[in-house]
Amino acid sequence: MLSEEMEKYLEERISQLRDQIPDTALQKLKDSAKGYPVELTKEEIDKIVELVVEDYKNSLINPGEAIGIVAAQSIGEPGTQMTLRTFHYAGVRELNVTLGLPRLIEIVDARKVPSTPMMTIYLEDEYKGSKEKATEIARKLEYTKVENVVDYTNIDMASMSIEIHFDGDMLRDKGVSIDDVEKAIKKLKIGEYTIDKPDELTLVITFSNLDNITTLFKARERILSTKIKGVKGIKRAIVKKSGDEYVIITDGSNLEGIIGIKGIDFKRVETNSLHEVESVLGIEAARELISREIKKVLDDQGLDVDVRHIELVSEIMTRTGEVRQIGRHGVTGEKTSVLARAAFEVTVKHLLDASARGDVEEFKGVVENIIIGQPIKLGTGMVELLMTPTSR
Amino acid sequence: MSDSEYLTPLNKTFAESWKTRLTLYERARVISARALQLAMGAPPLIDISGMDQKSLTSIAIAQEELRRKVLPITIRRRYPNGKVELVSLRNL
Repeated sequence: MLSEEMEKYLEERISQLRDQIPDTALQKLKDSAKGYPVELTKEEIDKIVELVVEDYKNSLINPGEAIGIVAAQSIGEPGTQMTLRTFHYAGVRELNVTLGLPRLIEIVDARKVPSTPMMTIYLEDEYKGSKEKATEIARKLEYTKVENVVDYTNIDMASMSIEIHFDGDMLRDKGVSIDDVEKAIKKLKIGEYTIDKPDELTLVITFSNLDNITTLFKARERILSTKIKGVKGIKRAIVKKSGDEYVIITDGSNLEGIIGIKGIDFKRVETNSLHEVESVLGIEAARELISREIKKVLDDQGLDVDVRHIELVSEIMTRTGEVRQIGRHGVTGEKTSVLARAAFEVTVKHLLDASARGDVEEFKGVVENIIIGQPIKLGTGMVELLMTPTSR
Repeated sequence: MSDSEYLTPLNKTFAESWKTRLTLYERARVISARALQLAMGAPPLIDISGMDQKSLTSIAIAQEELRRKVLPITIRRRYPNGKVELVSLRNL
């Protein structure tokens, strides 16, 4: 709590610190000072600001610190705890979500498609309050082929016709009518045919100019794999209540396909598909997603890892402008030293290739300096001292 | 690209601030180098008669010398972008 005068004073102190302390930290300071139940005096504000500045400066890392190693250890050690506990974990209702170590490996490897792609779709104001409206959108998203609503099919070779029996329950569940199916089939170019409806759940397609049975089988395949509705890649869409609004959770992810669908608040759509985010939203979004996904995995397991280690990982992975994986060889394309590469695997081949190319060893990294017995360029090893004895 | 183009004001004051102070590792390196000289018999650059005689080690003397800015040592910092900066211990 702050009196008006004190608030002005705090504002003034904060503006002096603008070029020393990040805005987010200053904002937090302001918010907590305002939210504090006791009224603060001028001296107290001075003391608080002083402590904040001191604390911030103490938390800064000294140049020369081996932050990469520290990050690797800080994520790696809890990672060993994780291995034994989970592989796959049945998560959100019917959906299966990869969690734990397999998911962590997946993120760091920067795979093109995650093993369980998922989206969380938030809706616009007029849709998010009602379950019916949300379900309607969810149905529109689900990728439904003809075969998803079919019970069984018969092929009549005498009359060259295909009999399709539909499953009434599936039709209702997916929100599809026979007319929708008929419309979808009519868009196909599979020769000349007539469609009959002997009863409510059956379509009979009789071809007039097919000459052999193979083409008839092919026609059936094409009909069954025809899309009735939906967005490609989205296998299921489930409506779930989250807080005071309804959200759609999908099995399968297609960020690009979601754009422009009415009722969807695209700005809030979440996906776990790194590659899609990179290509649709850009590298900064991908960086943020890597941090968040790693953090989520670790939090789920109850492991407490400082965000700065995770942020270092995501920043290293994205700093060239595209997502690079961290595999067995470290960050792809990062290791330029011949000796460092030769120390890892297929030593002779690396050395031979390097000498054939005429590579130069710059001794910038750790491994190569250890190999030739030099101090490594880290911590005290990177300090160069020059002595000027005449100056006294 | 010049520094001012990509440095935010925050980063700029941060970079500036290092011109007048040492990193943890630079301190350690300077003190250890000087302590080694002292241990091998080099004469101290300060009057040590006033110091606490019980804890008068080569490291303690080296620390005091660094504090009083009498060491004729310059640190050469190499930045990742190739920039080189000299920091004299005499004017910290």
